Amino acid sequence: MSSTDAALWRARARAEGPLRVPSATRTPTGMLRLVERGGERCWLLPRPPDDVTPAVLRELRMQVLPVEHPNETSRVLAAALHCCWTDTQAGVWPGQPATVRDVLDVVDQLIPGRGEEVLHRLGTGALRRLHASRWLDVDDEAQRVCLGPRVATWPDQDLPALRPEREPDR
Amino acid sequence: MSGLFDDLLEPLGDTQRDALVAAWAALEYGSEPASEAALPALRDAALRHLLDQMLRRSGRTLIHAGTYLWTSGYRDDIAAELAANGWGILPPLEGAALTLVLIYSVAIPRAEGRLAEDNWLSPHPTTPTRLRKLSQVHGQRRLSDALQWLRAAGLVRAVRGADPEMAGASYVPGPAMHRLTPAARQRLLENLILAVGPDTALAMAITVRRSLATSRSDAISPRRGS
Repeated sequence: MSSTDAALWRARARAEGPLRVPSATRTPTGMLRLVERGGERCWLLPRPPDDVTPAVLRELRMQVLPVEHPNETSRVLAAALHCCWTDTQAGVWPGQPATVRDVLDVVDQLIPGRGEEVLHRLGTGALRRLHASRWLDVDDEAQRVCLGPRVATWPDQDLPALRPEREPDR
Repeated sequence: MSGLFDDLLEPLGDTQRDALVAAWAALEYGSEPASEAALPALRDAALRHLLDQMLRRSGRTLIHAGTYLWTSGYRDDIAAELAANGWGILPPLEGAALTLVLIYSVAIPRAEGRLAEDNWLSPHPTTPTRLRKLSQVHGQRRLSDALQWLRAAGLVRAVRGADPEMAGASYVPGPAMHRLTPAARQRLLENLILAVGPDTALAMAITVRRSLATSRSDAISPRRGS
């Protein structure tokens, strides 16, 4: 693969977000390959130098682009993580599918007393944003939520902080 | 190790390497241009050259965004390839809304002498009245979604209270407009001229110059795949 091809793959992923391609596609230099559960397709994401994440901007006191409704969006992502990352000893990707209802029930426990209609509205908006940015993969028709390929970019050292605490088996 | 940058980073000591990676993150992830004052790799000409090489391997390039300010944007040759393949193109309504913001916030104020800078940023808001035509045709909900998409991409920024007569936010071009290379800025200007005055002498001149440039580059290097 030429250096121009490698540059074009990365630029395309920057412009379009993570790229979903047939699994037979050769992994371009400098990109992370994540095979989907079925094995037919995989996601390609650019690997940053030294796997640096946007979290470094906080140390530099710089802003990232703001997310709409950041608190609600973060809570819904946390709830989806709780539902989909069932084997927390394993890596976070690809996790297990959950239903939209399961995720919203966890959101309801995080911020109780919102009422069904409000919960549905904020949940739907957040799921749409998280799907568009590929943090989650949401199938509206099947009402199914899976983790999106971006969760695989969390560095290993951040995972302990993200691991959902679960009640011990009774 | 990411593979793509190894040969550039490996010869460096830890301090220089960290400085370079931090500057890369600031340019690629930051919503606004990064200041030389905060980032040693932007102050040092040798490290800045390395940074540009790293960016170029990702189809990006270093862009001077003002005094002591830098950002990154697509390389012109890569942007042309992306556009030719239809990758990362703005959807029609998002494109129309952004075009209106650029016309009312930049093109008209500049033509009237109210904007001196040669970039696509502006303090002059495009009010909801100017965007009403789009909501009449496509519906307010659809236009709101398009503007939300443009805000999330940093292509427009909401300004409250610019039009007391109308509910809703007004818009100015967003920080992502800093990421245009000089050639991209020029191309955008020409495309706007072609869109709003296709029969003008200026538009004709642009069309002729572009067709000459295309036939010249085709003669030198045939397009890939053809």
